[in-house]
Amino acid sequence: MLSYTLKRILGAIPTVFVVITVCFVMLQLTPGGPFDRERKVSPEVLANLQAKYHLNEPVYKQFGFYLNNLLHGDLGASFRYADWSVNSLVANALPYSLTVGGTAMLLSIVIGVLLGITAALKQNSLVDYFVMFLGNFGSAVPSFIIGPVMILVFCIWAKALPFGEFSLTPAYLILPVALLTLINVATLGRMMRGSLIEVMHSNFIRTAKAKGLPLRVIVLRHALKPALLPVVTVLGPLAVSSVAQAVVTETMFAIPGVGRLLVNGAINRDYTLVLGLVVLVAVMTVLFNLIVDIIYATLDPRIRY
Amino acid sequence: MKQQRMLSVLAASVALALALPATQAAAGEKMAANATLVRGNGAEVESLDISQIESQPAINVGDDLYEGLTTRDTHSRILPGVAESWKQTGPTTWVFHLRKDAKWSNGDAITAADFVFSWQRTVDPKTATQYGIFFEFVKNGKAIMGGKQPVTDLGIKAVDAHTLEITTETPTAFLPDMLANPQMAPLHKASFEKFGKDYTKPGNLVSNGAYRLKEWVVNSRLVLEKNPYYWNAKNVQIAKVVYNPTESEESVLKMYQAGQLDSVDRTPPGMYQKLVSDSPKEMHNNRILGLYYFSLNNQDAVMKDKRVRQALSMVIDRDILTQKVLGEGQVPMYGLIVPGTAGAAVSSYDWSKWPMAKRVAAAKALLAQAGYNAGHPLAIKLSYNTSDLHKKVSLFLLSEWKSKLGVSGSMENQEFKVFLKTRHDGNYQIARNGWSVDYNDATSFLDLVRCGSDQNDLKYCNKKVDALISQGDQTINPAKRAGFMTSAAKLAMEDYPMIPLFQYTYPRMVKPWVRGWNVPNPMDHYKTQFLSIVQH
Amino acid sequence: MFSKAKRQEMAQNLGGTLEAAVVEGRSPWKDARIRFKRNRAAVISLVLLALIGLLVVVGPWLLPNTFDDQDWSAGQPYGPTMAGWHLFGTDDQMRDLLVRVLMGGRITFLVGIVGSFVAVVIGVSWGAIAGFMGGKVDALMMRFVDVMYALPFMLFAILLMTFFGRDLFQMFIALGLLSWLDMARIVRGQTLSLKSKEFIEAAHAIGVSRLSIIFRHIVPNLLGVVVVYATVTIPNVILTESVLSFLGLGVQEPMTSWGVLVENGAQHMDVAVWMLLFPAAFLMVTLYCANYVGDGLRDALDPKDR
Repeated sequence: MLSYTLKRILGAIPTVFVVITVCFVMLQLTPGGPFDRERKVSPEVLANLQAKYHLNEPVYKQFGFYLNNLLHGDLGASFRYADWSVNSLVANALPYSLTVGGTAMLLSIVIGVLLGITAALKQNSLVDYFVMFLGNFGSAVPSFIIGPVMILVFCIWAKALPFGEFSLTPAYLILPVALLTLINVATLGRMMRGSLIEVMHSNFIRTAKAKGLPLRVIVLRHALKPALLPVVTVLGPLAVSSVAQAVVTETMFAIPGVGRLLVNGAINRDYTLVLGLVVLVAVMTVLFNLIVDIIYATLDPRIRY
Repeated sequence: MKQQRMLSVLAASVALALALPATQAAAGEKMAANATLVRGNGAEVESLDISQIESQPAINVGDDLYEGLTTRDTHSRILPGVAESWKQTGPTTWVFHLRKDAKWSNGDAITAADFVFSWQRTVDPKTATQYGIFFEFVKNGKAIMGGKQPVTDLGIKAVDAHTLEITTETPTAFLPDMLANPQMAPLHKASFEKFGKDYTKPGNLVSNGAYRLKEWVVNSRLVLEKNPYYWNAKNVQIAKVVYNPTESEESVLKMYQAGQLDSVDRTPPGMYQKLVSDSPKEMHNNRILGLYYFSLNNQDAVMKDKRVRQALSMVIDRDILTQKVLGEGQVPMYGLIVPGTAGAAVSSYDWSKWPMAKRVAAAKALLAQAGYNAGHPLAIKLSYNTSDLHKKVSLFLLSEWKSKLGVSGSMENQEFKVFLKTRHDGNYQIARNGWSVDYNDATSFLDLVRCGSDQNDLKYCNKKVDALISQGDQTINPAKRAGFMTSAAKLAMEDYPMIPLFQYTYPRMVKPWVRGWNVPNPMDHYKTQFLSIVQH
Repeated sequence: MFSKAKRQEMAQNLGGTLEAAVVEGRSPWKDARIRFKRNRAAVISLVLLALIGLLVVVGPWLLPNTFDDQDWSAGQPYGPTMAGWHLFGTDDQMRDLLVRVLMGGRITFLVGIVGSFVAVVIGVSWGAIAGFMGGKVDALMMRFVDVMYALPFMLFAILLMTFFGRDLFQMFIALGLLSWLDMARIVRGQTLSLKSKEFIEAAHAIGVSRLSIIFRHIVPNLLGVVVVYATVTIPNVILTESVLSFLGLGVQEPMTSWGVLVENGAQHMDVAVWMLLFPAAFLMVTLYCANYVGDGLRDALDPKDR
């Protein structure tokens, strides 16, 4: 397992490199540059700015320059937020995103799996329909409706929660975590329901049933593990999107996280900031998928790497 | 010489008016002790470096942190800042006398050399300022930014520790107005040289405004505290300012309603009338020196026909647009210069007074002359960047043209930067546009129609207009100058290079205990030092 | 889409194991129908979906209002009224909301179906091939997926628009291209665990070609998961469409879609709540129905349920 993990991490380096290269090219091709403003800057000012950020050099040189800095752990200076380095911007945003996204992930795994099991065991009953009604709420109602209504009800009408400058305190975490959890549960609950029903129909479960084992034992000891397989597959991407790409949630709740940085970076054509965050997302993707694959292997002994 | 004496501004009388403390409490009310103002700022500031400040949020913070030779109150009046008096000594030369008690936030005295250092550093090509507009008026500023002259050639000289001589490129009547902007503030040389590019960080930044930097967490908060060394500190009532950088207008309004913000810089589109009726005392709608218009590409195959441009402009019912479609108190516009702008009179088309039926008939006739009729209808394409306001206006224009002239139109929205590129490159037929002035003078608007100006997206050029502008630029007598500028604007608009629609308003919400906001403020700067908070 | 013979063949494969042959007298399709009908929520949802679909297609022709005419003589935007058939009231631009909701429904149905279909086809093929081939091919294909995950969606959409222009077809492709990644991962995972099953090894042993093992034996056994995840994809695709519209790719005003209507409604919910309620109700009912139908389809296609 250790050598496998090492191999995967080493194998991630080319992935990250490809991501950087492609993203670099994409940024070059995207119309509108970092210095395009409603008020056009004069040619003199533009020339100075381009010189400052090395944009007047050939693209391959800029790329080499970026890679060289990256190897030294430096993501460069932000184009937009001129006083900050990308490193410090990311370091500042990451704790917020990790806390909100991570908490939501843990909650949604527990809730999603429980809802899925309940629905699956009561397949085609009113309980099933009702549980799936709850579970699917986060996908049937867009988050940009749920969020504002939540704020309206809990923060403005009931005044039960504060709504202002975000901080990592329970009072401020409740709503965004709840929203992200709702969204994730919709996916996880449905996956769990489907795959558990499928497993419950397979021969080895029928055998177990025939042996007269109680349902609880059958589910917990035999059915759960194989039923979790497809659910586990989506955990990687779901974790990345909850932590690094929760743009709507972060914007709505004014969370100073990674998703908001990424959108502002893209809007402002902040080349270095976008690249830095893309590197972060790439590393996260590889890391989370690696964790998922390892869990996967422990769940399904037939899979070998 | 007589003329010049008339021109010279003796600031002493102004200084008297300014000395009033910022108390705005009614009878029976008491000022709050140790008050904190939490301001919704609309976005994260891009920088606190005076050479990089460019956006409204950064200007808001910069206004509190830095003070130039002059300052601007919430009525947009120019008052003495670090300079206690000034005098125009020649067509392009000015002398500023600095007050002796002006200090940096660490107690150091402010000298004329601090201004010279600051300005020379900003125009240095190596600094690469984002916002060079003001310095283009200072002698040799443009050439220095272009790397053609050394920074020492800049038109600013320290005569002695408390006297500055400033030379401008052309007679610049609005120089005192320009100097009130944070970009023109002095720079504390010692701390700048010690910390380099980190000089704006909390703990490092030495500033000279009414407030100094206490804390700054990106996308979270920016906290300022009262600067005890500020020369006018005794008249600064609010002890602490927190700037909240939340972008989402909906979220900002909810924070305000939840009681966590004292002010909302812009209310969400479409909400104005409800907010006015719900809380009339908290809504303040400020009319600014800004024009909302649609650019016409004057070199486009269809749009190069003036008759087409005129017909399209004539049939837009600006009253319905401002009152019903938008309903945020905007003023209909039929010219380039908006009311309140210094240095030129407002002009408007004769047909603006006509009944709509007559306007439509005239526009139809123009289109017919241009060769468009029911069998061969005019087809146009309109571009805008994605936003609720622009979408509303674009849809309304298309509907007006379709219903009144039978014009078939299509519209396309673009992401902001893509749109800017499209418009700056002239790859459009009709495009959304808007302009608010950087300094209160008509030339800021005239830049939109000047041949080859950076801001001229219209591809419009009329040598006669340019001649009038440059004649005005060289004229010292304000009335005569305004005459030239007014005719230039009028002449340009007779060519119909664009479709002016309305004067911008900025609807704001401010809690009732914050005083000093509710006044006309065409330049839209709200320095916290001119605001106050009563006990609540 | 498939020839009849092929369809039968596929249906047989649905059985997956030899069991299929044991049950006599009932075709697998009939089986599936029965299993689907057992899920009452799915049946009701299917009927509802059909009704909404019909309404959306036929409605705009029957109603007297158009989706793009603005009537400013009527004053300010108003809520539902019988007068002039403005049953849903008007939007902020004084256009009839009912017709707009129906017109938007056309786009959204199309987007949901075509967008998810593209995503499913790409995702399933990609994932199945990667999982089955294993080794270097698998590693390469899945690293490609990782790369796609990491690229910023917004730039991607802007570039698609810049280089390929803007029209509905472009948008479907874009939507499909942006949403197949999860599907590929899930299918690959399932394929990995199916690969070592007896019937696949049996197929190997008798010399069935790899491609036909993938598409005739593996994919049919994945349909349950695929269907469930496809219905997870539908809401994503539908809401992504409104983001694409924001970026200028896809639906342009005055044309509209439910995603765009709901987003616009959310902006106006304090002043004109009907602008949110009507399109949101349609969207919500449709998405719920799609989810229940998805679950029903999964039950119906379950190869192990007899």
